Amino acid sequence: MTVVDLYFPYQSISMVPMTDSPIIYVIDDDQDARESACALVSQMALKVESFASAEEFLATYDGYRPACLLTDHRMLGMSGVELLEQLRADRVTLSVVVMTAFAETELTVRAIRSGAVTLLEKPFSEIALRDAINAALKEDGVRYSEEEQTKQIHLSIDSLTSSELEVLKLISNGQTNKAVAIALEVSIRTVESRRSSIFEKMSVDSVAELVQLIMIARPDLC
Amino acid sequence: MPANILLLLLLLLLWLQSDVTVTPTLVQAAQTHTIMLNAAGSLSGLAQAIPAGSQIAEPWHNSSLTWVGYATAAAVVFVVILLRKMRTVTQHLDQLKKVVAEQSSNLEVSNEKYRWLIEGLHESYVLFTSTQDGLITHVSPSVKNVLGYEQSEIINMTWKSLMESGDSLDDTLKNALKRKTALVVEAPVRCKDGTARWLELTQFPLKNPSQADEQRECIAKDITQLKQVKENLTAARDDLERRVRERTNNLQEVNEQLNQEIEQHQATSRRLNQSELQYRSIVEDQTEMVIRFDTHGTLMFANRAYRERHSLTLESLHEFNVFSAVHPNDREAARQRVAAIQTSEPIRIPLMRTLDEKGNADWADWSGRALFDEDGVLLGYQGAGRIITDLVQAQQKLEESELQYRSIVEDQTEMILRFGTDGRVTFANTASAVANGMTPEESIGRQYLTRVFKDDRDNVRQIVASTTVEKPVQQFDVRCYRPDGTISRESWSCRALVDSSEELREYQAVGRDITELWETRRRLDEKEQQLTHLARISALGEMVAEISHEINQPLATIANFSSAARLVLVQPELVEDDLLKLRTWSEKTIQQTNKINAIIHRLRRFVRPGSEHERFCIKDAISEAVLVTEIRTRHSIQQIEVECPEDIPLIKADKIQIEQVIVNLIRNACDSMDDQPYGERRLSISVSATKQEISVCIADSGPGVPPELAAGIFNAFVTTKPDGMDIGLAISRSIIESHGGKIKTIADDGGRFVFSLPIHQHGAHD
Repeated sequence: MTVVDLYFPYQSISMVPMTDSPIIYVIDDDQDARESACALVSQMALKVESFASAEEFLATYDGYRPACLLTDHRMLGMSGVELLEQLRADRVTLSVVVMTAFAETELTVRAIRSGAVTLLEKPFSEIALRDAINAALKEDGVRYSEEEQTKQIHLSIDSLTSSELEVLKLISNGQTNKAVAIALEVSIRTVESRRSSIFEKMSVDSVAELVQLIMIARPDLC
Repeated sequence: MPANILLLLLLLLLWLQSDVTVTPTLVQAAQTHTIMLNAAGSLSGLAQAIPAGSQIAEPWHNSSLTWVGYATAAAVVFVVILLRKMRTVTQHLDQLKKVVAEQSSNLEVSNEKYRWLIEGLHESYVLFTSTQDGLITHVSPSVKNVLGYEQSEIINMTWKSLMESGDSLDDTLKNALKRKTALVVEAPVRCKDGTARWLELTQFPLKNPSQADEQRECIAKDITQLKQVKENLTAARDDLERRVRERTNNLQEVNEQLNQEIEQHQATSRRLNQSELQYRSIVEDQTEMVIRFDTHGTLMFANRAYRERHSLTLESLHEFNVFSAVHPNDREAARQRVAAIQTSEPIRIPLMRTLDEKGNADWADWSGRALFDEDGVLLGYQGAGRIITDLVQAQQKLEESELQYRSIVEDQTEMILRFGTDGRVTFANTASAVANGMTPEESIGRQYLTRVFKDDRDNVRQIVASTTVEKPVQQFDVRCYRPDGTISRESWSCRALVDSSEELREYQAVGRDITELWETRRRLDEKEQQLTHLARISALGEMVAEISHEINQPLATIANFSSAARLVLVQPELVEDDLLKLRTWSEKTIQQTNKINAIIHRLRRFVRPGSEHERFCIKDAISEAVLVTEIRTRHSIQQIEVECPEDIPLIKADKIQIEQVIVNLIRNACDSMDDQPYGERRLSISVSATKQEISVCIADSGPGVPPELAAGIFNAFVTTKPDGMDIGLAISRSIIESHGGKIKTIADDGGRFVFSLPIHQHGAHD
């Protein structure tokens, strides 16, 4: 299983389409409510796709990013918050805004804990919706680029040979070249050449930068 | 003219010769001669012609002699040739004669063979020769043997007359002949003496093409005996077969019978076994004691119950004396009773004390009979008994309580009054006098109505007046004055007393103070009203989440469409598309407001308090209830079925309250199905009616109410739900019962709640 599969279990794609225009996914089992939400969102000049149930969304979503999911909570079958929990369990990280007619505390807490951007209480104003969507998209954008970066780092690390990896572990812990050479029972020269190879593959110029990257993606190596 | 005469002679010879068609060469020869003759003839003619008047030449004069010479020479040559030819002919003829002689000698040999064959034919073979039409032309001498006819007699008889089967066989034979095939048939024929015989005819076609009339040759073999033997054999075989079949059938029948008998025996023995087992189990297992004992009282048999009671085994029982089990006080009496039994009539000792081995006394009820053998000799006694200690004790208790009851009745505090038609009291018992604040004596003479609360007096007067001979007893509730001025509630029954001439003499009234009862009931009613209201409110509280959702959905839709419309309108330019959008959205917005209206309307009706009875159809109440609970049910249940016959009668009741009951039951049903998978949840509401009442049944596919809780589930504060108080069912029951109906739950395939409402309503508190 490659790194990519970990993040996108729904479809076997090698690369996520990297476009900039976000899509807003709207889920509501009440047809009028759904249509009205879609009308409003599309009038805000955003691309929108709608679904009548959480199940439909799960079956169709292709992992497009950047994206924001705007879902009603109380629906027949799977509820909005249940959908959110399911997505997080499947490691789908797109931003989610939950709509509900009656925002009980328990529901709110549960939604936020599962990573919803916010809870929108119906009926909501246009401004409230816009704010929510903006926050969601921003969050989604940031998270997405982070994910991409982490992915890149993982690829880079995977490209290291096992001997380079050994060196990496030691120098990330602050060991000098000499100490590394002794530890691995090789010459300093070997250590130096491996080190520069590592720097090359990881696209860094210093140990500090290297450690930063490692901490993001593979903290277990330090 | 000698040449002409020669010619004529030759021609004659030729003509004669021409009849002998023996050899063509002769003819050829003749032809040749004819030519020569002609030639000679013509030459002679010529010779003749010339001499007559011809001056041809002298040579010709000589030539007439030469011509004769030539003609003669020719004739001589001709004759020589002819003689030679005739020699050939004679040779041919000789040859022919030889051949013919050979053939005829062969023929003679054949004939001879044939004759020997025929003459020497075996006695049983006859040879027939007949014409095509069946006329017999020749027959061998053996015909006498076979058919009894002489040869001469047979000849000129026809086949038809001989054969029994007449035409058909004859035709067959003729046809075979035509086809030139040999044929073998069997034909019945009649002998001279009239007996019938069978012949096997072998007909073969004669190859004799020169004879004009074709002959039939037949060899007939007498097969009568053969046939007879064959028939006998066949008959014997058939007979044998038949006998074998009969025998087999017989054997099968016997077999079946045996099988049946065996089955019957088996069935009987099975039944016998069963009866024995049953009997044994009855005797052994019953809790009644069954014993058999001899004239001395020694036990001969005891069933398990008796054995256990007296700790006997199957062996030790034979040393046990039944009277030893009887209480010493009753022993002698029992012995005497038993000894007094003369006949096999059953006797009964209904009450007798027995002792078990520990010395505990019990009351027992025994019945038994004497056993006699065929000669009337007493063998012993058989008895069946049971312990009735409990029964006796219960009876004692009953007697005690009866005594108690009687004393209560005797000491009762009912008020008794008697007053005449003028209203004056003629008798008052202690209780009624005390209620009036005076002594019984003081009560006499007073008007009975003085005690009655003034507003009720007219009513009472009316009721008393309507108490007549025809309607002697009336019952009524009335308010009365107490001595301390307070009002009491009393329940009175008034009876008209008639004298011997059926005339109304006076009235007797018996009454009870029911003030407390009345108070309690009134308080209860109040409390119930309060509770009902409370339940409605709390139910309402529970529904707030649902109402919020129900109203907020359309509100949100309105908000969204409006916001979207605003965004369209602030655009610098509007296009056709935008106008279309605006139109659609406005329409949808209006729809949403209608939705909200309906919801509010329903809610208002639901919260309205008070008790108003109206005539309505239960179907409407059900539809309303279903609508009100739509939110709850829409998310929980896949299917609600409502079944109601078209002609269901109307009922008179408080529609809101009845709706409330149905709402409560529907919500309960939804709750009970929470644990079921969505697809399996089913709710059905069905209505049925009898003459007196209509029944509404709400059935869900949940687990139902466990039977141990079913009785108590209508009590307030008894709940199967882990959270909250379920007042709903208690209120529902009070509503239904206040309408004179009943409500209950049945644990059936799923949960089931049924309530009934009377069609002709009698209020319980009116």
